[in-house]
Amino acid sequence: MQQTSALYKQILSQLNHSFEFKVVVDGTTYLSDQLFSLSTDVSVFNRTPEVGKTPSQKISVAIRNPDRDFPRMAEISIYVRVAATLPGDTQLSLSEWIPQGVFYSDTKTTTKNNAGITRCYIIGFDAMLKAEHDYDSTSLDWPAVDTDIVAEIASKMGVLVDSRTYDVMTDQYKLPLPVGYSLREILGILASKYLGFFVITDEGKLLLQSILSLPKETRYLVTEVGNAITFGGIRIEV
Amino acid sequence: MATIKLSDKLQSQKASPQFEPFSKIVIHVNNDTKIEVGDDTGRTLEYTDPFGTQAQAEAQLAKLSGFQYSPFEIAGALLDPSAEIGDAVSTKEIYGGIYKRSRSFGQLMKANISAPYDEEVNHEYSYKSYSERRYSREINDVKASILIQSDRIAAEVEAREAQGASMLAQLSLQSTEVSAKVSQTGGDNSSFGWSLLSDKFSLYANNREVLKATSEGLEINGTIKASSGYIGSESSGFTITASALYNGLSQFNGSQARGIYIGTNGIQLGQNFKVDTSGNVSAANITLSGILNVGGQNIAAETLRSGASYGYSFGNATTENTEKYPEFFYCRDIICKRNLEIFQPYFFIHSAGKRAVSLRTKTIAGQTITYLGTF
Repeated sequence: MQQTSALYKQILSQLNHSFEFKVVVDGTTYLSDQLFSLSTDVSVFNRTPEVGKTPSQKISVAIRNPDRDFPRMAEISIYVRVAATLPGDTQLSLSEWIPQGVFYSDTKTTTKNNAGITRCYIIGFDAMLKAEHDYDSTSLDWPAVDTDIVAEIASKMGVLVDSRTYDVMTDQYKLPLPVGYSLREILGILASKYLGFFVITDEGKLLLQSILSLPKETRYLVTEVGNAITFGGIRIEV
Repeated sequence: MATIKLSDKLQSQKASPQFEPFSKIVIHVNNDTKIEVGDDTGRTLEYTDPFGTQAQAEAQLAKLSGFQYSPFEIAGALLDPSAEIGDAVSTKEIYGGIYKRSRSFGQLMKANISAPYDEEVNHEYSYKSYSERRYSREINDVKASILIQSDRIAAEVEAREAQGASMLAQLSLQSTEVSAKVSQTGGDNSSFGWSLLSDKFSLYANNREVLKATSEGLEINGTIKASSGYIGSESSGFTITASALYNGLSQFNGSQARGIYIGTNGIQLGQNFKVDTSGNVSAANITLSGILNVGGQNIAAETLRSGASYGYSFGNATTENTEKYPEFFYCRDIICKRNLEIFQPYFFIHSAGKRAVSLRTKTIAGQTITYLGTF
């Protein structure tokens, strides 16, 4: 879960909250009223639980009357914020923009309807597809430690490593030089060693998640937004 | 990871029974090697890791102990935008991890989320697409073909090695036969023939062996014509020329102190003997044991004893007779005897240029030396 402000949590807890979103394509911002549609999809596995997966999230966005042409592999970023009128306020309160993914255009289709409205339909994928090339150069001494390998791969992909990755990678596995393997295959191998999977976060960072890291189920009383309800400072379990 | 409390902020939800706990880990190292840890009492987790180890599998099985996967599906969830893949989600009926997410951006931000599960039948009889099965078949066919080819290659190598050994043996045998087959004859010995045997080579002419070459050398029975060459070695043997045979002395009347020359100009031995084509002999010493013919007259060694009354005559010397000796004197070698008396001869040149010899008995002292005659 991404870190959010108290304001965000407060606004989100309001029953009358709503969302605003925007898409930034190659530096040009398009608000929700400039978009026909916007959706994302990601799937770690499709059936039985698996480890060693490296899924890539997909974006589908249709832009109304774009005012420009977009270059190849244009960067597309999605942001969302929550809005509501807080109790006692008359003004609409807006939270910070929460990133919802960083993508790169893969296909672009432009159509124009009879009314002359242009629709630019873009399909894109996140940076995980940038790991689809051979591990053809390295500055590491091999055999190398898994955390160093992940850092080097992230650098080659042009992304940062989410710091929570290192909370999972505690066993310090060593790998020989992976001749003939792609960066993505090596990420998968390392993820399998930790019974997990690598994803690109909504902030565009490389993150290792383990299926064993799921928080244990609790029966605490919580608010709408998940804050525990306490009684005299003590959480109430039901 | 965090837990997203959805409560009833959703369109629909579907929960499936929790999976049975994992009891086995299988690591596929490659197509032929896998590591298995655990038993078949529960669910098996399989994955591919070419660098996987037994210790890794055992540690993972220990970590998986007690873990149970909870599959679910939630449609139209009003999901907190800050929720991430891998976070847990809880409703009144469901608690599980978000491993699949489809978000539709709008004012409500709805999402379909799930922890996927397989159908019971598909779990037992896992579906593979046509492409997967065809690829798997082709891989197996290639592997089988490679195995067959490698076996054939190994068999072929073994056969060629055996054949090579056999060929070596045959060559060894045939080399002996070749050696034996060298024993051939040809031609006709009555006119001209040849014979090549294992120990000699012979040439025949008119039924006569005229040349024989063996391990000991060459024998020639017949005419040898040579205008040059050597007998022995070039440095110390005899040199053959068209007119001479020599060693050391390369010509007649040569000045070399040592050597021999036999040629058309004469025969010479160093500087101590030579005879030319005219019969002129020069020698440092001569020892005669037979008859010496001087001017047609034979003079034997015993003849030196006679001297008739003139003593002895040598060559063409005239005899001057001043005294007569009734006794015979003969000389042999350098000793002159008369009966049992030994006389020491003196050979000297007379002042008149005549050669003379005088005898003096050893037993008579002070005898006047007179000459007996000239020679």
